[in-house]
Amino acid sequence: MVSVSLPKQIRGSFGAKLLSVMIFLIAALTMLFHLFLAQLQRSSHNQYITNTGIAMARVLAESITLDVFAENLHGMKAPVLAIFNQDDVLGVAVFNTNKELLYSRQKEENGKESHSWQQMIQSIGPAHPPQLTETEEAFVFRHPVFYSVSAEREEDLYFSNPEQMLDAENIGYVVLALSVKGKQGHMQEALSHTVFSTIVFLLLGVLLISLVVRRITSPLSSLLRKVRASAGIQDHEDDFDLLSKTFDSQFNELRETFTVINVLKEKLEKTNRDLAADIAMRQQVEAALRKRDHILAAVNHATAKLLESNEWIPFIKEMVDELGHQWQVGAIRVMKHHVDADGDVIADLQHEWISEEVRASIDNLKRRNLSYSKLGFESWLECFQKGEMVSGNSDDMSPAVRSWLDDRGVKSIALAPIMVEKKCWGFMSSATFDRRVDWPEPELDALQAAARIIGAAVHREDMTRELEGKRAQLAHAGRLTAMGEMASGMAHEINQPLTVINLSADACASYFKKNEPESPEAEASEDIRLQVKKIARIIDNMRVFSGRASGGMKFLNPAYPVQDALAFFRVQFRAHKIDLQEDISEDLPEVKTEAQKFEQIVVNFLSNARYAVDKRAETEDGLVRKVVVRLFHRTLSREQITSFGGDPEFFYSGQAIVLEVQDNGTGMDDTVKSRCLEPFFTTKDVGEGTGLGLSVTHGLVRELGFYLAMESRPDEGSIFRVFIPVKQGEHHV
Amino acid sequence: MKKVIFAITLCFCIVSTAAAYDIVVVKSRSAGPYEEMDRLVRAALLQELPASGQKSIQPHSITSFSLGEEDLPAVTERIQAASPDLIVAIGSKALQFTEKIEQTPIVYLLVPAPEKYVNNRDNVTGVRFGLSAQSQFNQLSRYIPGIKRVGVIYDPERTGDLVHQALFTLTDHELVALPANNPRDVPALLKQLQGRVDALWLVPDLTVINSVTLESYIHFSMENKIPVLAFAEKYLDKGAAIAVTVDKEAMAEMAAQVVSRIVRGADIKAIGSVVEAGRGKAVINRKITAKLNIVLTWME
Repeated sequence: MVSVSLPKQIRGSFGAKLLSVMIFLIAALTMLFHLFLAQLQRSSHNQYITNTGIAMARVLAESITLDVFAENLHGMKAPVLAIFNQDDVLGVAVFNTNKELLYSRQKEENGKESHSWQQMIQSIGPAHPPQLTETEEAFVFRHPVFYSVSAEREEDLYFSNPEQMLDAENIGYVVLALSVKGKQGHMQEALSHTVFSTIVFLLLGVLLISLVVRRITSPLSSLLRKVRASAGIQDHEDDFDLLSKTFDSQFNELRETFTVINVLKEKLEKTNRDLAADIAMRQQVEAALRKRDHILAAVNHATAKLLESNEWIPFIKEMVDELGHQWQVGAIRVMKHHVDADGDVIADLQHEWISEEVRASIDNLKRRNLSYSKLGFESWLECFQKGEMVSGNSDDMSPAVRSWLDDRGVKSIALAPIMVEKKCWGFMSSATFDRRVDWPEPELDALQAAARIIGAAVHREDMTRELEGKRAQLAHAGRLTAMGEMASGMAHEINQPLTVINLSADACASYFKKNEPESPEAEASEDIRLQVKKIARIIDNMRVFSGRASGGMKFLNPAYPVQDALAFFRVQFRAHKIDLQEDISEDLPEVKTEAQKFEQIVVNFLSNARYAVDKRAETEDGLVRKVVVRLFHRTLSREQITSFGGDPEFFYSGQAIVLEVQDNGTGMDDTVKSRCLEPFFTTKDVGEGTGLGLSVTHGLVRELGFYLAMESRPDEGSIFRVFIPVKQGEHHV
Repeated sequence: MKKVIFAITLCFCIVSTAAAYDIVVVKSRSAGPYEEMDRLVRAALLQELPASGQKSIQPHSITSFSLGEEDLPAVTERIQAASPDLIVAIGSKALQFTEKIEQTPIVYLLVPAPEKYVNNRDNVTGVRFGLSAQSQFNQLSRYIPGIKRVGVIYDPERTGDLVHQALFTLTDHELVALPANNPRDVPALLKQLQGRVDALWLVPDLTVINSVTLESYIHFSMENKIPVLAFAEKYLDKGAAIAVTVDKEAMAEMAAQVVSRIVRGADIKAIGSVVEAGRGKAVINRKITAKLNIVLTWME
């Protein structure tokens, strides 16, 4: 089967390469095996030479003991020669214990003795056991010569005592040199055997492999030949080529399999990495959640305390300290906003907690207040006003913020606005000084929750303070009511004598008018009568205001109650230097209403106007305080009616009587304007107002079926308008 | 009458208990010859000790110690505690061990040269280990007649007395005695004896007898066809032709007789520091005598 074209066929074939490797391996293994055998033979030969040399030296030592003992050179000649005549023995020597050569024989090489026995025996140590020294030319054996001392005492000479330990005395040495040529020849012979065996095994191996290959491929090649024969193909593919292709295809399949395995392995490793990252992330989240739980527990604890106490400052301090310990950050601060004289929003430090480590490591914490506009923190303020949090590392901040944070050693910070009634009261911050932090969502939630709690606490205190004011106003209103009651009673009591005085004054006036019309008494009686009328009108007004004189709904000209109300305030306004301008139209249709209630409406408006202009005059020197009261008839469009919430159906042909009270007082902003009609809402200081004026007025307006509208601007003044619908059937007078 | 006889018998028994002896046997070693001699002495003592008293009631106490096995101070304490009536020392070491005991009688055995241990001590006597030169040569002549000149190599320091005594006492033999101070001299001295002697006489001398010199003697014997007269049987295996030794049983019996005499009150000075065993025996290596072409007349 090994044809001439075999080298070309097997060149480049994987199977042929494999075959070459196997042949090489067989050759190498064979050589190694035989080298191992040669080494074994060498060791065995060395052992053999050693044993032989020692045995010969020992025999010689035993045989010449007596001659060495007596230094009988003649006697030791024969035993020495017997050993010396052996083939490999190069020389024999006998020494005494003084290392003096007693007898020696050496074989000459090239006319020279190859060994110096004296040097050799001196180079050997004094030890008694047999020794072997290997030189380039020979193995040199040395064996001591002993004689035994058989008796210790004279009586021992009589008995054979095998138990007795006999001392042995060294009386000389036997030195024997064996040639190494025998060994070298043996080694050469072993090497030759190795080479020969390697070649033989190599040939046998190649033959065996060829037979095996033929055995393996014979069914396949037979099948292939039959297939080719049936297909009419004549070319022949030999066994090596067939085996090579088979190997190549199997190798390719194996390589593809390994490729798939590698891909799967990489996917598995990627999955493991993702899983590990997921686990790490989950652990971080769990840790953050645990921390949040701790923080929320602290917040809850503080909240419980807050519910038990109205004071929020101690509660905030305790909560911030607890948060600091639980959160394990560097510092936690609570800042409150205020507006300075320049209109800038400033954050003032209310409370802070700083860890011991930060306190020890950072000398200057620089706890100055923070001005948003001056430091370039407007973006923070915008976020806070929208209720949004700010968090991040200093590196991620704007240059101005980063510089400010770096200057304070802050590496990372998270801030949550403190919102009170949808307004930013301040913020709460948490900062780290030793590490950068990617603030986890749970921790930010916890910070925000704490900020909300603080906001709720502040709001609660504001509400409490406001409630106390309302209570004071309510008490003031009560006192006013009692005063009204008392005034009503006093008016009733005064009215009777005043009637008598009036009648008497009339009688006197009639008398003096008839008898002495030019006399001072006539004039005095007339003054008495006028002043009594004035007193009677005042008493009537008090009775009306206290409600005792309520006459119920009836048609009347609304100018009269307005005039009555103005009568109260004209003197007051003059005393307060308030310019009261009256534009009261008398030509008005009568409307169905209650005069006292309408008058109370006017009184309340005027009272508020007086307070507003006085309040503004306190801050503006030279202000001309002015109050204008208008009452006029107007025809309104449908849109105008609906603009103040009126029902056009109630306005006959859009006709309305309009009462306007205008002042140039402090005015109201939108917030105050939106709340000014609420009961007990007031901008006045405690004790100055009840917060019920406009609320009662609004209630009276609605009770009488009127409509109220107002216009107001801060520091410009206010206009209160009451629209009195003129209904069908109400006639013009 | 019966009561009187019982009382007399009881008194006799009480008195007889005082006649039981405490004897201590001290051996140099526990090796075979010493053990054998211990056994023989015990047997002989039981035969020779005074028959007075009721042994069945109170036998003699014989206690043995081996110096090779036991702690010497402990043995000394035990011997002193036992306060024996007599000490039997078997071997030179045992005799040397008892040299500080002055009050207790001591009888030695198996001591080849007792003179240096006795040193005029009054309480020491013993049985000679070996036979006199005359006895040995008589035995030699008895089995191997015709021997006139006998060669001997000896160390004057060790066996000078023995050889000198032989020189004076031997009448039928001519003794060629060569002194040696070193074992290495032996081969050379043997050469001097070559052709001058009909036999070699080995004496118990540590200087001239060791494994190598013994080999020299045997070689000399073989080369010159002359027999070697040895003093112990063990040399027969080495190549000696005849060994004349003391009979051990005779030594034990003699020692027992000496002990018996001492315990009965005999004066040790009267006995002397050494007594002869009296009876010897000759053992012949017939293979050697055959190789030496020696005709054993007595055996024939």
